[in-house]
Amino acid sequence: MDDTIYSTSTQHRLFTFTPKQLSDLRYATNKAAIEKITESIKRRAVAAGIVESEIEEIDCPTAEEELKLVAYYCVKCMQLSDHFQFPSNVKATALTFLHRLYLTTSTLTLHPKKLLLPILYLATKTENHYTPIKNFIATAATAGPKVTKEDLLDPEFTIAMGLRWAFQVWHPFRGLEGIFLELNAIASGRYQPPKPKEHLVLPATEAKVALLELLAGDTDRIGRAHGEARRLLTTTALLTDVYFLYTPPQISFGAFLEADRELATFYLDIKFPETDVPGRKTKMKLLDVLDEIAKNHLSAGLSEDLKNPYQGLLLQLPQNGITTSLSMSVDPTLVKEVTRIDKKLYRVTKRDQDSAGKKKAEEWNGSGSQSGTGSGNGIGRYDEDEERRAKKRRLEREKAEREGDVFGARLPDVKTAGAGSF
Amino acid sequence: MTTSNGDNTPAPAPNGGELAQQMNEETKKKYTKDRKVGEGTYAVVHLGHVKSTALPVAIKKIKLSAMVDGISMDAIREVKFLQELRHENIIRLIDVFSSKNQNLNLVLEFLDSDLEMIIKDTKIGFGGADIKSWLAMSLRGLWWCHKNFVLHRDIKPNNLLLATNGQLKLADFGLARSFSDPYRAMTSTVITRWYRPPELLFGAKSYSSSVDIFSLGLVFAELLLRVPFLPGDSDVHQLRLIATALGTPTEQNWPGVTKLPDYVIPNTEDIRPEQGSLFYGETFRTLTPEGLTLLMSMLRLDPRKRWSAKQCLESEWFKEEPTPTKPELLPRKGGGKGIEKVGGDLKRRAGWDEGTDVAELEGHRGRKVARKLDFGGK
Repeated sequence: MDDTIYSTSTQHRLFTFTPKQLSDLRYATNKAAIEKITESIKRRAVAAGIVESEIEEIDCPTAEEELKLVAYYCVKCMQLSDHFQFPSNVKATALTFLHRLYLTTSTLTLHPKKLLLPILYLATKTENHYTPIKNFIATAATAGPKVTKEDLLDPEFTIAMGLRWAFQVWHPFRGLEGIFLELNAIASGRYQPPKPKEHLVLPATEAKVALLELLAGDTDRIGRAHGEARRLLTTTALLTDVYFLYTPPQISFGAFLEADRELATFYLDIKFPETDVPGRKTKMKLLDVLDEIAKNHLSAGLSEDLKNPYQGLLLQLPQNGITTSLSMSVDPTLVKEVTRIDKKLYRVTKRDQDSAGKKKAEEWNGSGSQSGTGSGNGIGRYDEDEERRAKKRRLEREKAEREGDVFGARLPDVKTAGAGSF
Repeated sequence: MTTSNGDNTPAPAPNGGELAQQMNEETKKKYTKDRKVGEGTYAVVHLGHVKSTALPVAIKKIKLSAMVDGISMDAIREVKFLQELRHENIIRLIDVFSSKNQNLNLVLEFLDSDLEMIIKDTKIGFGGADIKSWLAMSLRGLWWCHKNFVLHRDIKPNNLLLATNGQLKLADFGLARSFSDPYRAMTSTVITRWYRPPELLFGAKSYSSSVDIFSLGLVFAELLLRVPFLPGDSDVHQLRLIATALGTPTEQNWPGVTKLPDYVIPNTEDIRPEQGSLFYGETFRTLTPEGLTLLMSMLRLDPRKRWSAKQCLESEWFKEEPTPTKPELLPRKGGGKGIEKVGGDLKRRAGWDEGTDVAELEGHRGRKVARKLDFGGK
């Protein structure tokens, strides 16, 4: 991609950060939301005649916890998208929308669960993948969650505003196809080096010989590397911060490097041969960035126990207890943790909904189920809904914990990870 | 909402849905609506201004009735592409906000006339240097779209708007889309008929930026003739006009054309070879040979043979005398009438036409476009 063009894109202008900026933004969003909800609960309690010192401690999710919760719902969104059999660009755009939205939106304000389907629907529109809303609702119903047209459309403006009306997402898929096609071209001796550096580059025949030597008869290797890189781009990459930290071509190549380091290095050597002195420098710099993407974000070897290269920063890394691969999403301890956070979140937002904060919160703590009387200021229906859902959630959760499956009942026809077609 | 904010600083410490609401309110408060300058079934256009600077703007409010399934595809496309495309020759989307009942408002750069008005106004005289200037500006805008992987898909004189300083701006991105991947189909029901290239009339499902070049080629011809060059009254008629004027599309001049889904020989009784400079020279007598080469290269039947926007801009015609008129010296229309006219241009649903075609379009093609256009992959 042309860098000058990319630098004018909304992806670069509005949604590209340094790790520190990204982390600061998440903390700031969490802090602002906590201040607001705390103030609101206290005000309501005082209005209901409770002395301020008597108000029970208000326990809000931390920024770390919020990120874990969002990460969990990102996996869920991914599975929903696969259930719809949407192409990779729709899935990837929906996931990117979720990440972007929760940079500046707290789960205290908007629960991600309610936004998964609306965001998917919006992504079909922005990706020009026309899906009649009736069909969308019908397909959603086969995945479990019952959804109405209003459920899908009511949050649309809030989502769009949270995305700052920037709908274009640049994905790394095309870049990967480019690498794939070019390696195949080299293998068949059809490689044409870009001008004006052609004089520095190996002639097509020599490049072919070198590549065939590397492949050593394993002709399928390029295809396998491409498949693995694609799998990474359509799963792990969408559960990490790479879109916020790197450009699409960097991500494409980072995934390819993670998929097949030797082949990726060979390709770079073709692009930046020994004879190209300034090019060598560029290559080393580039490799550093690509290595960062591969090792720090996409590598399957990452786990909570591994050293965190971004110590102290709130990034979507397994080291921070964040799910970045589908296999991790069913880790029972992680599921338990997310359940705990969700409960906490529910409790505090519920308290904010009630006019007499303290009393209601005690009820919740005591029995775990409420009478369902509205607060009389027009949010009764919400309360009932929330309770019904909470109960359902609890049952689903218990079942899931029993079965070790974070998603409760299995979605019918869920495609295996990475099987998306782009 | 800070679309006008070009810097790269992270958003201010925000607060969820409320923050979005608050930002929306702030954006909304920045503008005053002055008077209505256009109203259609799809949108209402107001002339307005920025409160703090008195800078005039156009505020396009998409009607709720046009949003049956949430924000319409047209509005999504328009917002999506205008947010990305920043160029002197592309209309600037300044802000987006929602007003009560989730009405979508697009704050657009204020422009007070369009190329159609200039062409039609017999009292306005213009010459080669002026045409050269308008065409160059159109090509620059188109070059930027194509460089950004965006097809405009509705190039015609009333989508080429003119600012008070003479700058020409591509407008109306309601039919635009990103380049498709090679094997994903696109709809052929785009571009207003008079400006539609033959591959779309033949039902091609994969096409490229060359569709916009053909349309602009016809605008070029119209600037020279001061009347639409190929004003067909049906798709079949349109193809006949193309075949008669430019040549009959055949396997010889366009390998593969006969494989297109709706291929027919439009003028069996009068098959003509693709026209060369002789024909062009006779039809466009005022044009120099370099100008004729450019026009011909924009109107090639085979889309693969058409020049790209970049090739067009590199044409010798732009370098030879007379040099293109400076934008601020170009003939202008503007003023009261112009504002109403542009208001009319902006309020239209993309792909819909005005005048004689309206009934047919609203009853037929309009709906067909709205329904068919959304084909992404299947």
